[in-house]
Amino acid sequence: MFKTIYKKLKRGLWTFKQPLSAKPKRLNNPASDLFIWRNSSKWKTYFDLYDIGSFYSEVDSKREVNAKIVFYNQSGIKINEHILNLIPNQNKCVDISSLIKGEKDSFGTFAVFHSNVPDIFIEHKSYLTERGFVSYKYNKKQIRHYVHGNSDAISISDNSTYLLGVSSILKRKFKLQFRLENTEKYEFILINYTNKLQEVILTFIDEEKNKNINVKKYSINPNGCCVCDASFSYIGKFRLVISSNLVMARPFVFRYGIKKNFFDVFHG
Amino acid sequence: MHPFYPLLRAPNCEGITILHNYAPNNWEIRKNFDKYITLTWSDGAKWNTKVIGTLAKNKSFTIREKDISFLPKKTLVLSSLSINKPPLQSIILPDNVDMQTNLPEWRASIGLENKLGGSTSFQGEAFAFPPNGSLLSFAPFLQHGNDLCSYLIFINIEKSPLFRNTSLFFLNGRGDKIIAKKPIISNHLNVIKLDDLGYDPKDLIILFTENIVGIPLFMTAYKKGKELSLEHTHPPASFAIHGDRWGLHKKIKKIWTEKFNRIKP
Repeated sequence: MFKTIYKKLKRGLWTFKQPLSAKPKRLNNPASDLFIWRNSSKWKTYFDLYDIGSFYSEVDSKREVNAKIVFYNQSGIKINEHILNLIPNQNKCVDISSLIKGEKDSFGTFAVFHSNVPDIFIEHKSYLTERGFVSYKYNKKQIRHYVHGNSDAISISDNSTYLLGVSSILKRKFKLQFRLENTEKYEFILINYTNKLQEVILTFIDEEKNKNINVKKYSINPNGCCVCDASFSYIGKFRLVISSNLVMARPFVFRYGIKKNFFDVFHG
Repeated sequence: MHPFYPLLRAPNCEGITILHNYAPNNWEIRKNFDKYITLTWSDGAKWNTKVIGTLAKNKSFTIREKDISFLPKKTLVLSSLSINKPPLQSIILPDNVDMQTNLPEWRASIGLENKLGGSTSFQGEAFAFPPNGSLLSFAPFLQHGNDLCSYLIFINIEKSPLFRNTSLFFLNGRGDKIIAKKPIISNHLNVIKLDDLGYDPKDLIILFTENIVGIPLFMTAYKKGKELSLEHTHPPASFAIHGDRWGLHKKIKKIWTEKFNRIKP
């Protein structure tokens, strides 16, 4: 019994009053993950958009509904916003790259806020949120590669967005459970969904010897993101540990085959 | 509950699952151990488990289809890591509470590869689903185009080893029409071709079941595997944060069950 209490106390140091995200200010404020856009001659970004609120209606609504997409650059500065009308129960694959003209060879974050928040969410004291899906076309490949969001990051009230992510007092390590290999190239994109500047340390560790082989440090502004590549020469298998005060520093991983010429994206 | 890591299967592709013997964070599990690598599968009457090796701390291990060539084709194979040796046979899915994490779950890299060059994976895990639960899922993933083909990979795991035959329904976005009804089997990896179902690019795919729960994975391949894409849908509970999310989940399930009952064959 004492062992169990000790275990719970030890875990409590990390979990006591430590939510993954704060609640939006008002019950009718929609929330969104922060997604990654990439735009260049090699990259096209898409987002599958549908009216989530209509799924909660027994009958089709005649009301016009829309979604507001707010774009930020990699430094977290708002660069653009667009409102798109939605038809209930239909999917719209939005060409995100076409909405961020003027931001060539760049990347950043975006959020999607739905205007249709059914009353039932308010009755359940819950908040409607957009979790994805974003997809990418790389280097004129034929298919879009999908990945969903992984943070309840941001909300909007009276046309003004605010972040929901919280920091941890204790430094946390997120250990990506993925084997990295020198036959592939990787880019790791991390988002700052908190109101504070965040410092992240990416440590690459050799699988065989369990020794550090490379360390990279980045600072990320609120709403912003950083791209870290594993562009060091190393022969062998290795893994990634991310240290930060983010509660969940889960990266988006962009993965490229060197010999096989494939592209893939997933989240940690 | 103990996480399992299925080995995927899809046309023209080879399943690949990479297990990792290190925790995903530094605070839920502070001390790690070497672990048994196990493969578990049902023969329809009992669960069978084979220990195929041990995995040292901080190491990863790759399982491919060739590693399961001793099993009948189409068997759903579940890999896992365990401190204790599980029973070789059991009438209930082996369970083990050791070395679990929650934020995030202890995951493996689960994917597909193709000899033409395609490779795709996601970080995932699977647990036994309750029998007779129902499923509602919204999927926007269907891609149309020359030389593209899409499949749904529907994975069900239950504690009982029995194989139950049941159905998966594909609905239109409004939920007033059944587009297709496909047979599926519990404790199986069910592969369904999507291109012939008649969905157009504006359609959402709505998946609905009455008595089985599973993980819906959507795979798209270009030219039989030169390029591959894979992603899973979220349950409707993911449309909400904070508050009574499960109350909302029940409500949306009720709405769509009523819609389904109006068009049920």
